[in-house]
Amino acid sequence: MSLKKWIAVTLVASGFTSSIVWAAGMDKPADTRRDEKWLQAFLGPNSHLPFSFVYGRQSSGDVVSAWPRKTQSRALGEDRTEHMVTWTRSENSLQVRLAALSYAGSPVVE
Amino acid sequence: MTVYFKNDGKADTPILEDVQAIDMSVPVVGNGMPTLLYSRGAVGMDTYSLQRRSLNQLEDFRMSNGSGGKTAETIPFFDIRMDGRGLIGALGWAGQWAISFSRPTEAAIDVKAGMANTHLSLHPGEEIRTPLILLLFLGRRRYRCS
Repeated sequence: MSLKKWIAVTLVASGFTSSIVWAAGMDKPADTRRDEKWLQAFLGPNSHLPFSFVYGRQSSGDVVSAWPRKTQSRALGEDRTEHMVTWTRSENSLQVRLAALSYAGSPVVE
Repeated sequence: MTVYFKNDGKADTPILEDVQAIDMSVPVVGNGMPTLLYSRGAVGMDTYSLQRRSLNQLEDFRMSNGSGGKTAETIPFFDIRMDGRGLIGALGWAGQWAISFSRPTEAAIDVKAGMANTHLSLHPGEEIRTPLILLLFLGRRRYRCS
């Protein structure tokens, strides 16, 4: 079956960029374990930034890692969940916010 | 995914630059050469035709809409295929965008995408956002390419 080897992702440390590690063994698209894995790869507490920027001549990996982080999720109907990760620098109150939508039973991040 | 930057302070921020809406390293899997599928833009007889390009080690490839106008050369879409697995990405942005691929080592492909050029400071209360990024992680599929 072509869906036998769906991809799950986890991030590994590689400086301030993100790294995806493919894994197999998930049974079907609706497998919630798989959904949770790839989602955590992007948004979980041990994930690394899937985006980057330079702020005051410092790379995002250097600056954001020291900022307080807040994660929120809320259901948008039956099939969609909105995820929000916010980093705020208290010194001058720059706020960086990652917003993502996930879909039940789908390996999509939007 | 979309990233927002907001100045909640009372002074201008330091310079914010080189913002990449995605910046990630995709590990190469399988024994074959990773292949990048992308699409022509909306011009000529081959409008939106699918293109194929191998992602060899130490090679770079960049897609953009030039100075920010019509998507004539390419559209902001890509599909990295490796031994039946793949990562599809698309970028939603009305302005100047760029997507770049590099393979600095045999083991991984680096992907960056976002606005083509960013160098700015936010005034108090100002907020900006990156292009919207869609990522789709898939298993075995087939495409026809030119």
